[in-house]
Amino acid sequence: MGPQSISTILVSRLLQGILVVFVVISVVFLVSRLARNPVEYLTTDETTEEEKELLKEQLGLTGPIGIQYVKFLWDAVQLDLGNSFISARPALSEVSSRASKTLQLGASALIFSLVLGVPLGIIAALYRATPTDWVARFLAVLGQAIPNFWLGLILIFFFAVQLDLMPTGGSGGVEHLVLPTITLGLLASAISMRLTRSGMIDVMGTDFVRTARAKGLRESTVIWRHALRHALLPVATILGIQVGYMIAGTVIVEQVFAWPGIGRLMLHTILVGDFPVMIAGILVISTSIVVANILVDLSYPIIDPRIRAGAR
Amino acid sequence: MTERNYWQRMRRSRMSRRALLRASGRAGVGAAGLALVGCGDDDDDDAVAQVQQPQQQQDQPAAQAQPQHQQQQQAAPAEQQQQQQEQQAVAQAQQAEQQEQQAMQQQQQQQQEAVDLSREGETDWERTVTVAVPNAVGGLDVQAPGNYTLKWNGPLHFDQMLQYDLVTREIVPHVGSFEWIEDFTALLWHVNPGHAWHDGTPLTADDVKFSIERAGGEAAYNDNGTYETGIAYIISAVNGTAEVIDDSTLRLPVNTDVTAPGSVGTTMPLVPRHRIEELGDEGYNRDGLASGPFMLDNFEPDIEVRSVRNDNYPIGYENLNRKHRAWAKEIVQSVRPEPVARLAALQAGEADVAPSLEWEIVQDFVDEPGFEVLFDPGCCPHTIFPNTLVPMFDDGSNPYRDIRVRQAMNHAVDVETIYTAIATGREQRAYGIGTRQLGGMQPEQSGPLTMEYNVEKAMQLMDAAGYADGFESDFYGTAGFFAWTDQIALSVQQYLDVVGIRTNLQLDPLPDFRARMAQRDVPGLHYYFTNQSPDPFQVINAEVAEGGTLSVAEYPDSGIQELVEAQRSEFDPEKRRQYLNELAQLIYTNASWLFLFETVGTGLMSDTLEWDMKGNSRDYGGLWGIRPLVT
Repeated sequence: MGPQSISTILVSRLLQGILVVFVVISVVFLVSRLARNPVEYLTTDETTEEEKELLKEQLGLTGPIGIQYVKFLWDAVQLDLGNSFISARPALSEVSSRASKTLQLGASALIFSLVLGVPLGIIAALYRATPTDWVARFLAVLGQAIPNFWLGLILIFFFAVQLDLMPTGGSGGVEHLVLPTITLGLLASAISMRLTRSGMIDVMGTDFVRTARAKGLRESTVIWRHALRHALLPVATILGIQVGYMIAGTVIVEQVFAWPGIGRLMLHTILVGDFPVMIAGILVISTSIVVANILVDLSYPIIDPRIRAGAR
Repeated sequence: MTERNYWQRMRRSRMSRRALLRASGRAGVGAAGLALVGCGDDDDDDAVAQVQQPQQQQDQPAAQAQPQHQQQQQAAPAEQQQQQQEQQAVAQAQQAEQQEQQAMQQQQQQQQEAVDLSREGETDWERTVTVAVPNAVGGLDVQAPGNYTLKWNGPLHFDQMLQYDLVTREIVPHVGSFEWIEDFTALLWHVNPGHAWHDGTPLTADDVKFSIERAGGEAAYNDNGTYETGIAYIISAVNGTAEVIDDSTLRLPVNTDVTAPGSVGTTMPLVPRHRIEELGDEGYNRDGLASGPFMLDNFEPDIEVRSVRNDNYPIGYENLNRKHRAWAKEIVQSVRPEPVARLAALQAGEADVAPSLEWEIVQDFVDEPGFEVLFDPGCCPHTIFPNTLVPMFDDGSNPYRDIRVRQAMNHAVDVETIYTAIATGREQRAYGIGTRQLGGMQPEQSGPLTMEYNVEKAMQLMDAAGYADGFESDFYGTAGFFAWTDQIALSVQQYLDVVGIRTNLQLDPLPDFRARMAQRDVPGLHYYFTNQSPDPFQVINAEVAEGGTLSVAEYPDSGIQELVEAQRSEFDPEKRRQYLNELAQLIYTNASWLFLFETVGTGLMSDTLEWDMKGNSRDYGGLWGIRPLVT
């Protein structure tokens, strides 16, 4: 079997992605319907069983689960996931109105993690087994060990309460983005740093780096043009997974910083059983992760010429 | 200050249908004519007593009342023409006018007092108060499913026909007042003048009728013809179609066996017919309109709710124990889901109030300058309900049916130690249903009856009941709904274990827990609470009455159900109080439940504010009561 073309990879990944999203929302639909009765969240102690039944009917929660599922799928194909049980707004609108906020936070955290993690990894690799390396590795371990919930509160205490440099939470200007970005991005930057460091150490000892040096290239050219490209492959691979971690992490970070994104919305909808919004949120999140992974797959040939050559 | 308690002053009075129709006919002359003649003006020969005059002027500030008086004078010529034809009507009109003038004088006096109560010079009328609230989700339609209990919306923006006085806990006029008519088979609602929706449209009896019907699921304006709100129980006593007599009067047929004011729509949030018919249910939920002391200015779900003072709110500062015109110019509810983040917002000066904070967080601020710790009085008595309805064991037995076992449970648990060690220490023992003001156990009653912590006695009782070796039982509780419920449940479990009641504890989210309890066929202990409604009718209906939605502890031969029904159909307020008091005592002496304690909520706010909720819970449901002080 010959090597696959990029378009074949793309189609294959897209089909896989659609299947993944379908399975995810189907599982969420079935589990949520079986595990939760949202009517209990919408009523009080005194609401009678008759009223609850009428409410279930109004919310489309009556009838066999199979029929509900088929109707759900048919509507979902038409991107109609129903209205929120709580706000009565279309579920997808509820999620999409928050998506930009989560995207903003996720993107800034991702950039922060790369800007901090990659250079630190390079420095640690270049100054291997020196105090600089030890400090960088210590910071990486710290970044991975600190729970972001706790880190968020500590940052609020120091930078908002004590120093009055940042707001304690909410959204608005860039200043509102700083502390949540650090909280969310620190773990990812630690991972990026460790991967970059180990990748760089491996690459710096390879033949082509020695050849580049033997050709008399400047050290910066050797590092940035030749070594780093190869060292970044594992970082790029992990980036797709990082997107998933980041979205999961926003649930906590958005809660601590009152950041009005999908994460906080999801937390609330799960707690109150707002099925339409919950499924819409899962749909958006799973699609985002699938797309991120496809983009990572497609980025390999750009980063590594050997893969590009193989694909041809 | 004159205290006019509607519930106390309610008398057995009757108004005939003829008189109502006549009043309705007079309404054709105009609203002013009706105001002069008055709905209590009963000239029917069958009338047995003069109908009580609605006390619509009581809460009416002079600024609002003056135009009304002028309006009546302008309408006088039309009325005089009618009076010439009906001499009797003239006399009645004059009498009504005299009463009106007396009411005006009384009102002016109240207004004078109100100026003092508003403390003009000490209040910062221009200040925006920011409150860090845990959430602001949901929609703006206070009648939509799930929205009825949203604290950030309902109390601040919406009104009800009546309200509970914060001190006496008695039901008093608000947007309206009511009187029983036709041998208690109907109510006559009077909408007080001056109330208007925030778009300026007057709030009329037609809106009240619409609100009642919609709460009950009727919705002629939408395609389905129905709109299930989930709150139909608040008008459970209504048994027919409401009839609009005129713009300010509504006749409402009700069941004769239900007297609790809360079940006839008194606390039902009022919604505007014109806006809902215009926008539909979903549209109104997105673009709500209300009539309360604050007007919604901006709502960003889960981010911020901005509300501005309704300067036209007709209820002034005559009585600070009741919902009234606000002091703060603007209230901003800024969402901070995490308690520590709410505290941080307060410390950083981003918020002025941080409600709903755990005691562990606020206890360090008790003597801290610049802050005031908010202690709410006892709320939501924590109670453990034993299921007595179904057998627990294969032989069909259920130990909790034996009063000695239930008494043993109450003696086995050291309630004071639990709340001192786990909670704030300011809690008080719970004695079951109801507030003391409305028939609950009085201090002199509860003291001698208290089932004190006494392990030896508990073990003797277990022995006497034939359970010297104890028994195993399931024990269900809620996780995270109230602070400390997990720890309290664990403590109770250990105390019960000492006397041989070995429990398997399972904690679930509140809705799951409640759904299980509502099945009523799950044996074991159910750790829930009784709510803090001033009138305990809801607790009685849901948790005490046989067949109630959450009634799992029923005692058919105890006399409890008889008292439930007696208080339910008693129109004499004093007798009803007595019944409620007897009921409270009986529930306690019957050891019907395991009685724990009333929780004390805590919060924190800036000391540049004053927020006296007169003993009511100062959570963010009562933000209209915050007064910014001049600093």
